[in-house]
Formats: sequence, C-alpha cells, structure tokens
Amino acid sequence: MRPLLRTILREPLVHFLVLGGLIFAANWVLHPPAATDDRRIVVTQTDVARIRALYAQQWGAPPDPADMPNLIDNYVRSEVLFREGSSLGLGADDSVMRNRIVQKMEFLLQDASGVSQPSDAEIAAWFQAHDSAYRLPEQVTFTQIYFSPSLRGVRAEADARTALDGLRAKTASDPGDPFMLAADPAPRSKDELAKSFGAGFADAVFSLPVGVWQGPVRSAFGLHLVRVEERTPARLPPLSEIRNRVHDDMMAERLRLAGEAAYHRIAARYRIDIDRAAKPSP
Amino acid sequence: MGTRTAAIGLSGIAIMLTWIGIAAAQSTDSIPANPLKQAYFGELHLHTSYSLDSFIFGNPNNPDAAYKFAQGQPVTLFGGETKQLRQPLDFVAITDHAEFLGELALCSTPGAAVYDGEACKGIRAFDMAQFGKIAASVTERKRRADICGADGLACVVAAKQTWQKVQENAARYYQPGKFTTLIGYEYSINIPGAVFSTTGSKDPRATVPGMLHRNVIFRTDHVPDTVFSAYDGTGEELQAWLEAKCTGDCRVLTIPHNSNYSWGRFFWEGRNSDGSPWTRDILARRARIEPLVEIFQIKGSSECEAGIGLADEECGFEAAVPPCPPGEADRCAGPDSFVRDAVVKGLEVEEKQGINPFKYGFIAATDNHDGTPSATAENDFKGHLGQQDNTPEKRLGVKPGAAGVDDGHGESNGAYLKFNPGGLAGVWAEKNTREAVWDALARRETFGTSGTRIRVRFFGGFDFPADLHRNPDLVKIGYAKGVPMGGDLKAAPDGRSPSFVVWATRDPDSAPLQKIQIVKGWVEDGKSMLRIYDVACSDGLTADPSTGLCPDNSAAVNLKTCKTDEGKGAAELATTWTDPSFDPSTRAVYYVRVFEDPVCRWSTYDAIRLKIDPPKSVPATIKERAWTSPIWYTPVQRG
Repeated sequence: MRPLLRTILREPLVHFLVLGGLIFAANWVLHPPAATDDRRIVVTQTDVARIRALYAQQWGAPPDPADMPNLIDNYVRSEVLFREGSSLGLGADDSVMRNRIVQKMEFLLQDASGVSQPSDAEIAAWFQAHDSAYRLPEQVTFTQIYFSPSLRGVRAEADARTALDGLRAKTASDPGDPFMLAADPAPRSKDELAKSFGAGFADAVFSLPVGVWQGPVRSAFGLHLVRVEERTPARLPPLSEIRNRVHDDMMAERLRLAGEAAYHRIAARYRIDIDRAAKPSP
Repeated sequence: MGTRTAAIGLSGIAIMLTWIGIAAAQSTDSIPANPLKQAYFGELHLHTSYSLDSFIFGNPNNPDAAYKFAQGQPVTLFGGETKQLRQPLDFVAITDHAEFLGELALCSTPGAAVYDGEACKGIRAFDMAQFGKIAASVTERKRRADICGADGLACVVAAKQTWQKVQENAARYYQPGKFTTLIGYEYSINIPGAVFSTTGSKDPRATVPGMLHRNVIFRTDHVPDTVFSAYDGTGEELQAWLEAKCTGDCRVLTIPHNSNYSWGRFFWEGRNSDGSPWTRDILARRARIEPLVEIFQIKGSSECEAGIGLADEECGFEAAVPPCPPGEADRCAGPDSFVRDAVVKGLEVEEKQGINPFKYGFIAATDNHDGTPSATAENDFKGHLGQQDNTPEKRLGVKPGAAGVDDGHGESNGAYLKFNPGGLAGVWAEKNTREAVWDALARRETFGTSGTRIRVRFFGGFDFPADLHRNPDLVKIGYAKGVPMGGDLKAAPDGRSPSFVVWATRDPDSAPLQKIQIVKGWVEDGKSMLRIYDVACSDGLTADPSTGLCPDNSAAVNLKTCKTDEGKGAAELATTWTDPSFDPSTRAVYYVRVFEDPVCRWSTYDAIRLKIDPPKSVPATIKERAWTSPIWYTPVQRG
C-alpha cells in the first residue's frame, strides 16, 4: 500500500486540509488516554471549541449553535466506537485503518517536530552549501542568417559563403531565407540549443568567437551564418534572484529531516528484530 | 493538553500558508513583445491527482509535480518509473475535473464527516468500482449522497475551497515571459444512458461513456469564485453561467474535446446537446465563447475518420472509435462527431442563420491522467492512466511473458491499444504571458500537432506576391497584406482568388517533413464539399496533376529497430498557393495539414521492449502531423 501513502503525502491539498484532523490525531497519538480512562469519555469546553473550529475550517463557516448538540453527539459516538473497535482489535489487520493511522503519524511527525521558518542568514548558508544545484550553464546569444536547402538546393552552401564574404567586407549581401525560429532572442544553453537546432549546431556555436560572422554552420534545418553576440559564462545567480526557490527547497528538506528525526526518536523506543535470513517465497 | 495540540496545529497552518506563498500580481507590460510573434508550445488539457479518476488510477502527481514536470523536471509515475520532458513547455493549463473536486477533498480529509464511509475508503484504496459509481453519478447528474450528503452541499462547499487552491497553484508557478500557467478546469458531462463499465466487456462501445466534455480556460487570475460542473447543468448552461459570472476583468473561453466520443452530439445540426432545438441566443453564445476545438488527443483524432463524412485517405490516423453502422448514432463515430465536417457545416449554418457556431480554430492536447503535461513522445511512452496502463503488457493487452500479442485477452483487454500519447498545442503570440497566450487562443492563431514540435505559419490574402514563401519578410508581409491562421478573408477584389503562404519546419527530435496539404471546404447546393491539395512535396517531388497528390517519397522505417530513413524528407517546406477553383460568391474554409515521414507508433516500441511482434490491430507506424487553425472566406452580403 505504499503508493496510497505516497499519493496522500504528496497531496498539498491533503497537507492543508488535514490540519483540522491533526488536532484530533494529536490528542490520540501524542496523549493516548490512560488505561484507567478507557471507559470514560470527557468532553471539555476545549473539546467543544475544537469541534466548532474544525467544522468552521472544513465548511467555511461556524456551525449553527442549534447544530452543536448533534456535532458533540457525533464526536462522542465516534470516540465510543473508536475505543470499542480498538479494544476489539479491529484495525490491526485492516489495511485502510492501518494506513490512516500511519498517515496521520507521518503528518504529525513533520508538523509536531517544530519546523521553523529559516532566517535570512540560514537561507544564505544553505544556498552556499548547495550552490551546485543552482548553478546556471554557459549561455550564448546570437544572430543568424539562414540559407535554406529546401529553397536553394545545392546552391545553399555557396550562397552562404558568398554572403559571409559580403558581411565581412561590409558590402551588401544576400539577406538569406525566412527562418522559423529566428524570432527567439533569448540566451540559450548548449543543451537547449541542441534540442531546438540539433547537437552539431550547438557544439559549433559554442566554439565560435564573439562578435564576428562565422559559418556556414549546419543545423537540423539547413545552413546558418552566425554571429555570437554575447557569451555568459556558467554562473551562480545571486541569491536575491532565486530566493523563493531556495526557501522552498530548504523548507522541504527541513520538513523531511524533521520527520525522519522524529521517526528515529520514536523507533528508538521499539525493539526491532528482523529475520535477515528469511528468503523470499518463490 | 488541548492548548498545546492546538498551538501545534496553528503553527502548522502558518508554515503551510507561508510555504504556499502568494505570488504578487505583477505587470507584464515590461516584457518585450515580438510583433511578428513566435511559436510557443504547451498543454491545455491535463489531469493531476486533484482529479478523482486520476487519483483512483493511483497517479501520485499533484499540480505541483505537474508544473515542475512542465518546467523540465523529472517526476515519478505510478509503478515507480521516472518521466521527464525532452524540452520544457512554454505554457500549461491544468484542467482537473470540476465534478469531483469537492468529493475528493472530503474523502482525503481525515476528520471530514464522510472520511470513514465506504465510498471514501474505497476511493482511497483505489477501488475502480467506486470510480464506476462516481462516473455513473455524473451521468445521472446527481451527486453521491454517501459523500456529499442528501442535498449535495458538502461537496459544493469543498469544491470551492479546492478551486481556491487551484488558483494558488497556478500563481505559484507563473513566470511571466518564461512560463505561463493558465487557470482552468474540465467540465465533464456524460451522455445520459452511457455508463462507465468495469465489467471488462470486449466491445469497446460498451466500455466508454458518451462525452460532451469541455475545458474552461481563463485569461488571468480574475475568475469566478467556484466551478460549474456537470452536476450543475448542460454544456449550453455552462456557457451561459460563464458569461454571467465571468465579467469585468474576467475573460474565459471553452474548448470542447473528444467529439469523436460525442455520438454525434457535439456538432449536431439544429439541436443542443440534450436534443432541444437551437435558439439564436445559444448559437450566438457558443460562437462568442468557444473559438477553439481540440482536434487530437490521447483518445484519438477528432479531425475526421476513414469512411465517415468528409474523410480522405489520411483520416485513418489514430481512430479510436468504430464507425457507425448504417442507421446507428450511439456509441460509434458518425459525421457529426468530427471537426472537419463541423467547420464545413458551420459555413452553411452561417449562411442560413447569420451565426457560425462551429467557427473553430484547432489545438491538440493530451488529456493525460498522470500529471505529466505534453508527455507525447512515441519512443518513450509510459502510459497516461496510472495503474491501468503503466506497463507495456497492460498497454498492448498481453499477458506478462506472453510470446505474442493476443489482442483482447490480456489484463487490459487491449482497450489501450487504440489510444496514443496525445498531442501538443502551438500558439503564435507576441510574448509568453497569460494575456498574450490567451489572446492568441481567443483569435485562433493556433495549431495542434500529434505530439511533435512541427512549427507552421499560414497566411491568406488577395495581394500576396507569387513567391512570398521565398521572401525573407514573409511574416511581416503576411500580417500586413493578409490574415494569419484563425483569421477572416472578406470581399474578394474583382477577379482575384486568394493566395495562401504556408511554411513548416520539422522537429529536430522527430522525422523530417513529407508534405503539406491545404484542406478546402465549402457548401454547394446544400451539400458539404471538400477538396484536398498537396501543395508542397519533399524530396524534389511534385504533385501528380491527375490526383493532386504528392507521389510517395518512400521514406522507410525499420520495424525491428524503429530507425528511420534520414535521407528522405525535408527540414522545411514552404509554398505560395492560389486557390485554382475559387468562387467569390461562396463561403469557404481552408486549413493546413503538415505531415512528417513515418516513425514507429508507441505500440511498436512497446512490442520491441517485450521482444514480440507489433500488434496487428493498429498500424506499426504513424505519420506525425500538424493541423493549423483555418482561414475563412466570407463573400460580401448581397443586397
């Protein structure tokens, strides 16, 4: 049943909506009723407030006061049946029940372990420690003139060379053919260029000097004269540019670590024997 | 004790709220615009685990995962496989089903009154019978009382909260200029009487519901405060509701899909989806709010189908629904189910009623239920329906370890063989922002592909030079002296026929181009007419004057390795074409199809993985293709 658990755990909607449920779950899991209280159910003013708050959170408005006795009765009913069922051992082999308890525990572990918002200094330190994850690859911006083998046939290459001479001599030269991708002015990495123009073209363009017309360079579409306008070396963007992403990554990691730590604290209270000699059944 | 636990809960809420982050509204005016526009590729039809069906199929990917996937990051599918796009997308609309938003929220919220009910337990245990019951409740248009209460209100309230979340998700991943998220959802009404069957019947017509589904796509974050679902009314009522609720800064459009599964009701002349007669109000509203149709997706092509209506020899492509036997219309494909017949028929409706309700531009999409937008590659297909088709055996319908394909006897009864990885939407927009992308959708400056990144320009006009396709300024001239795809030509100058410039380039990741066609439709003496012209052939070939078709360029595919013949085909094709049989007094519609050389179909790649022969019931190879939105010609009204 791992996929079920994983699905639910990854569900931010669940993360969000489950908080109301957590309040109940926290009661049961962190503060289980003492053995002598097994047959005593006390509904305090705090419990009533909690029932009201949970209702409001789920339905977007507080309950009608006239409905409160019903809501309290429902709570008592579920408490009675839950305790009775538990004492009968129901749930021990019910995978849905088992999963639900495990799932609640997992949420509790992450929530109750007191994960706090990182400070600016902590974010900066994390960013430094994980800079390789945020590094941007080398990028180029270039201008190109396209010579279409579809339109020019075998003349395309000779035409491109003649145009290159013209460009270098700064005389009027063949303006080339319409090119479908030319409108995109954005700087690109070698990987991005390879995906849209073909690998050979990307390798060639990344080896060209800046500011001079070169070529013809062959792409998946045809032949190009290329002038590299700008080369941006691989760089680490300043934290200010990507602060939100770093923050989110850090919070995700904190929640994960906190959950793990809490699990290990609890697991330490158990003696766990695994028969490592066991063979998988054929 | 109560105080302490409550404090923990509140701190949790605080963390979550901050973590969710509220993206501040930002102006997109400073992002540079390209007046000649560029092609952006994206997804307009995707389901995540917010859709109850996707959830039940075991899909672990929620909207966060889907947005990250669209931006190029890998995700894990049901069953543990990893999937990543070769190129990130430019835009995406996540369109989870409006129908189940509330049901799923209640069933996945511990503490909700129905959480421990049989229905919710079944849903969380991925019980397909529960999905069948929910699908039936949509068909009957009555919310399930065992989840939503007798009055259904609990689900209505919960859906509103999830809709809020949908908007927050879209805001969080929107990067104006780089990556656009459009807010939307799917409205999924089923045809009465058609019930999702989980009986495993081998008759595909018994296992599929009739669908009249539409995606609802908003321009910005000004949206109504809740969704309109199949429980709330018909498709016509959806459009009326949207016009009433989406006012002021709110702008919205709807996109119908799977007309191939509509049993002829999407383009039913004279009748609304429920069989009632058209009214002018309903027709005019449809024309206002519905500029686009999804021409292709996972569940097959809706362009046309071999042997039905205005079909041609390329209409056998990814046909998912069997043709109707004479006299039958339900659970089979007839002419009223196809987009091509609709856009031609629309000309006649306009002639008679003054309104064209089928004036559709085209996009393609996936309708993927794995939370993986535009995962359309044939050679890396890993399914799209969670646990149902996550292995080659399930997709091909063979028993694990089987020596050969045994259609109809495997775990999935071969039901998924007819499906495909889905298509891609292309838009020509000035920049990559919500406003610019949506406006391109609204003016139909769009094209769809069967999944590859073919780029295609299409302009029509009466003053184009004869060799416009060779002119480096063709795009500028196209806009200045003509109209782009999705546009209208009016009032032919005396004695002139319209010219069209078409220009397409290949996807470097797929096969080269084989040919370009212009499909022309018109109505003559009340009869829909069609003519197809091969206007550009690859490999130096020219169209045969007697058939009008390009000779076969004989590009081959090795079915043992799927290696293609790179010597054949073109990196790009372009032409300027003048309609040789233009009648200035007759309405006409023109659209473009671009074909690639053949490649292996996904099912052949799967067969190679299993070391078995490709399945016989589907083609071993396909020609990937692009469809542009049409250009319409309307004569000046006489008198």
